[in-house]
Amino acid sequence: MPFLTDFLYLYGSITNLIIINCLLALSAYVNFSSGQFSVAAPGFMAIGAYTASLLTLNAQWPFVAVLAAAVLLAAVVALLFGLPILKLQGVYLAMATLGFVEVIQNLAINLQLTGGAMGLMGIPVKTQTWHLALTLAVFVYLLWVMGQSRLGAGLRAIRQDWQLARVLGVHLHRYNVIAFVISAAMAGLAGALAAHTNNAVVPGDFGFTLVIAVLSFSIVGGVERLWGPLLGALLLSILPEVARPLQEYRLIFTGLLLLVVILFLRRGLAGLVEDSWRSLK
Amino acid sequence: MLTQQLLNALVLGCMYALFALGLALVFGVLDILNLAHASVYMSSAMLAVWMVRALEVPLAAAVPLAIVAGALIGVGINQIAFAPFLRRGLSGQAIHMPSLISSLALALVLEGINRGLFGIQVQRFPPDLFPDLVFSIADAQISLLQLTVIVVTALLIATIGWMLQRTRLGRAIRAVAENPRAATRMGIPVQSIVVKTFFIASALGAVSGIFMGLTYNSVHVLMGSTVELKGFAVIILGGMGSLAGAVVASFILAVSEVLAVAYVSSHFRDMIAFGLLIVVLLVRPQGLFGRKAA
Repeated sequence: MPFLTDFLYLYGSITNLIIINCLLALSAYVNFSSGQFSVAAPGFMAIGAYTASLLTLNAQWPFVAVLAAAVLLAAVVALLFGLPILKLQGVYLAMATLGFVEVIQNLAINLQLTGGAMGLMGIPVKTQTWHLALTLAVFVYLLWVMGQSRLGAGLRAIRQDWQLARVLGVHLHRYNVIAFVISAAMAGLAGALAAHTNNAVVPGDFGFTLVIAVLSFSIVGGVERLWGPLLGALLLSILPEVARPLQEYRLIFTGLLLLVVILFLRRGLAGLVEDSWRSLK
Repeated sequence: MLTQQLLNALVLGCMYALFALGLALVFGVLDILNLAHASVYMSSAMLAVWMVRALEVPLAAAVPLAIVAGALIGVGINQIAFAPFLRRGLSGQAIHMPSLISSLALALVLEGINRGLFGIQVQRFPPDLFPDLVFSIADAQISLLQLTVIVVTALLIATIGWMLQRTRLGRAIRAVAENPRAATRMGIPVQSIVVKTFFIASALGAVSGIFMGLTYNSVHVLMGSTVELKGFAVIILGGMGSLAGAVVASFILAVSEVLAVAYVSSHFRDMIAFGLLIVVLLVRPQGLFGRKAA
């Protein structure tokens, strides 16, 4: 497939970036679609990235084992942190998860183990684009299956009306924790894969900027449909590349986009597309 | 030595307290966190530096102008990010997420504007703006600037407290904070009160930013982000409905930070706020003086 290989040669790194952003967007989707205002994804991505990098660099584990370890550690941390913290809701949960991201980032910057502010370098590039694409496909399938399942129905119910859901027998806390752990595992895997794409892992990548980016994917894309955050991730990853001359206005543009969407397009672009489609029929 | 540390903590606490008070006022009245509050803090400091350096305005004039500018920016933030949702009649939980996002969006826009206008370099006030007087108290030293910060903060807190308890405006603000619908029925112009609250709250944020910029002689586009998270930690620790709690918690945070840096390690200074935030949310979500349960 010469076209594909040429394309990937030229645009490989941006394709990787887009897919990684899509993975993160899906991780956040699990939270938002169940009404959890959690912004913890960058923190779990960091955990996954550092775990994977350290195991590759210091213990020379095979790639698959490294990925598995990253997912596992992220899930365990999510379980331990999630059990107490998911008793909170709304703004309080948002702040707690924001605090979590900051704590993780701070630890990454300050611990010797994680290479301090410079991070870890010299990580062999093991991730191929097809790995990322496969993971994305697996995530989408997983989430689709989850959506059809009892867990998915329960999470949807929680998002729409948690009090009613509880009355109808949905075990709120358990479902919330499960969603949180799944989302963390996804973010951890994304982080592990990303770490092996770029040779280096830097703590600065896992802070407030990434929190805003992941949030933007979901807001702009819309969280009612599975493909909403994907659309958001795709758009917001491509835009800076396509609109290179406007680099300096990137922040302003992102802010304005978010503002417009939240004020006028509550269901995001996915909602807009759906509505247009419906009115065309 | 300890006295000096405590003195530094007092000054730091004053600046945190002003910031947190602004955040708490808006939260008290609207039940929303204003994620653009730190942008006002930063923008005012940037404006003050710019006026002093580029326009050669004397500090005594630049500061009030920057404060007013910050307050107006705050009102603008309300008009764009919060008022549209209030007008649609959303209230309570329904208003939280969209307005959080819209204030976050505005924070990004403001950061972008500041970046574009002033660049990403650290800006500094010209030296010797404040007379270089230092006083000795016990075995510690305090500069005129630090003294000014403490005195102004005390005055501002006292004035706000008096205003809330003894004036019509204050009563109106408290009424809206308690129950906007009932306040409307009592004839209180809620929209107008909200605007005035934002003006006052943002002015406080502006003062905090300018003081911080003067004290550490460092003003830059990202200076808002650390203080913002500390602000959240503080109002959660103090209790989200409580103004007094915000003030008290600010000093607790400042003392903890200064002592940790002095006696443990400076590395984990910022983590104290975040750690505190998480612990309080887990153990006592309503904070020290909170009136709302999480």
